[in-house]
Amino acid sequence: MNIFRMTYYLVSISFKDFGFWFWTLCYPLLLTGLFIMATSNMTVGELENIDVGIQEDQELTEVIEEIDFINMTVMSEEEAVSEMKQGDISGYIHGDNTLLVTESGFDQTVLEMVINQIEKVAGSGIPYENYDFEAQFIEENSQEAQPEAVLFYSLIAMIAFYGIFSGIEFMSSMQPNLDPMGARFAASPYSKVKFLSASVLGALILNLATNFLILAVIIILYKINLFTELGPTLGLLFIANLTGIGLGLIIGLLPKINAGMKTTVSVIFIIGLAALSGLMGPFIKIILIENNLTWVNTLNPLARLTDTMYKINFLGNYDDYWATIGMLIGYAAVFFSITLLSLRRKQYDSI
Amino acid sequence: MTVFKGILLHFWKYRILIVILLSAFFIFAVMFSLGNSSENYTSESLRIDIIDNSRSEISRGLIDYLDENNEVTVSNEENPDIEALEEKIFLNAIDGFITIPEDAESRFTSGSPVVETTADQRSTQHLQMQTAIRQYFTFLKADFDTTGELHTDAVTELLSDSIDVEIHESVDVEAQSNFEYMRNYTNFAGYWIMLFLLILVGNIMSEFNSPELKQRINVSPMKTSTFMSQMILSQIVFGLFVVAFMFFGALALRMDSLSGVPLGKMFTALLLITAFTLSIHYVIAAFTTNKFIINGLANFIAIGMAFLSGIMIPFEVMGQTAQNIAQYLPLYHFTQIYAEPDITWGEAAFPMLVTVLYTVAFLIIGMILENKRKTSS
Repeated sequence: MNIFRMTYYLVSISFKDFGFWFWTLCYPLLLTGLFIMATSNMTVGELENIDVGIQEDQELTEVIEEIDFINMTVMSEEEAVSEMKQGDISGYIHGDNTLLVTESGFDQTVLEMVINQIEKVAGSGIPYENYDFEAQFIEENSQEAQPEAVLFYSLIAMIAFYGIFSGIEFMSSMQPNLDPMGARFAASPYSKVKFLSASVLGALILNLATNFLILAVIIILYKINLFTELGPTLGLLFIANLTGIGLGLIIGLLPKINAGMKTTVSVIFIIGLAALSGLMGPFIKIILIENNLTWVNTLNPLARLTDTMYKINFLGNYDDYWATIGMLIGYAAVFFSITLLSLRRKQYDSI
Repeated sequence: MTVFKGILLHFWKYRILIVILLSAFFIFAVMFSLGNSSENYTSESLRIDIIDNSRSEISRGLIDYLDENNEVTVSNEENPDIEALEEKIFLNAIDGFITIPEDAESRFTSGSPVVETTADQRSTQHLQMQTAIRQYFTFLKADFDTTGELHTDAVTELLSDSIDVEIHESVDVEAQSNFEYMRNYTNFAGYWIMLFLLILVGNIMSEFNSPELKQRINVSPMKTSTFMSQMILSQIVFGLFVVAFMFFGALALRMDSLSGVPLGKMFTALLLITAFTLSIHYVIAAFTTNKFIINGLANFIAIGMAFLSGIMIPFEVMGQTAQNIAQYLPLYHFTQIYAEPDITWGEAAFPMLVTVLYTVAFLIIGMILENKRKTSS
């Protein structure tokens, strides 16, 4: 039987498998919808003014009134505490120029700095006319923080690695001690390399098709502009799918564990890698960066894929594009080589 | 207790896997809630990277001043990696970066912009960074215009001596920060317990429910009620083990920082979410023994609820639709059992009741499906 006919049969088998469609299509689409719902308010809007309460006849009233980004209201301490606890104001300025707060935060720190500055102008001994409050000391550039985008890229990276399930399925069905189909296959003269190639090709075709469908839904239906560099992104996904299938083959090689448990282990393993790459928010990535543990995500293929996708699409940075492709190809080559070496010349006393 | 022991032996078969996964996700949960407790008001520090091309008196002064209250990283490299810094802002790993050009001193004296900043201009952190830099240069320039000399140390000293900021006496800062830590930890532990139990119990029980074993159980003289009670008991024992691992693990880590934390309510919440998870598992098991479906449903239910209940991202920043949906999710009510450090049992009773009702509802659905399956087979 030629390799393409075998590929066709294998694709047909997977096509009829509910589990395959759930994992590679329904689950990612459900998660994408969920992420969109959950993150729709997450992007920071315009900078909001800071609301502050001030004691009646406070000496700083006039100066603070002049500051653009502070909204000031005269009130008693009791009212202020109540409003602070409800989150309506950030602080309260007492008559002795002290600041009363109910929590630490950026708004409170800015207020502290402003009051400090006003006090220090008076107490520095420098003539007031020498202060130039309009002077431009800073040239400002903007780089938007968009950590929520990482969720989506991490999700897409996770989907790209779902070829792992096809790999496990293939290995389990090919091992004579685990599956009757494997026993039949072992007794047939069909080449293992051809069978492996057909399986990989079949899995690749189906996974890529579902990946493209999900990207299309994200771009066309959900109208999220995540892929400004579509071509290079697809290149990455192609290689990642191959690596995912290879990883599945390696896990499938584990002896004495049935396919179901291998799938369970893979689900948890992939979620773990995806969590490190930012699936549950980028805070875990940041913790790794801050604790000099960047090597964890340097070795984590999902994190490499996630990082490279947002770098090329959001930041226009191609610095590690080829390194990521090289790394993913390297992983895939190692996985496929080990698989082939493990499968060759294997014999069973009885099947 | 044959069934009870049999199921526990099934769990025992995967003991190494269970311990590895428990440990891995315990570490995740700890990472999820990293933070330090403080006893007083602390100014919010910014995470700033500074590229100092000037290496002058002015740049040293600015760095010293910002370093007093912020986490400053200085780079003196010839060709700094700007794109890496922009990526850090994109990820929120830093609040911004400052570039001090070579000719900073001449720019300062001539009145041109002295430094270049890059930050997300929509954030309060940007405002704080601008205020700090502007404040420093305003005082330095005023002093320079008055004396004709640069007194960077004096300006830093002058500005470092800040006004008094008081936390209102009704607020216990230490308890609040202890509580924040444990709340984040318990939130994540709740999600993790759901995922772990649904996947592991689901898969192990699907092995136990294999046709060969089922047939043996059917022909055995054991009553269905005895069988069911032993099965549920074994799952509860396993659930308690997982809860104990996650809860007491956190207590051991935070032994000195537990004041103000409603530990009783957190433990109760974890027990209730375990019971709820086992009831969902009961429904899934009555509905299918297909491991793909079990894994898929477990994953989607756990991660879906975690996102919509404000565990992965703060509830306040979620969209209105998501917030409305959250009110109907048991994991949201799980988080409400310990929502405040000083929450009373009376206040926690309602979310506890909702979680219990969800558990009962799923148990009933499970029983109906189970009976239907038995009748049809």
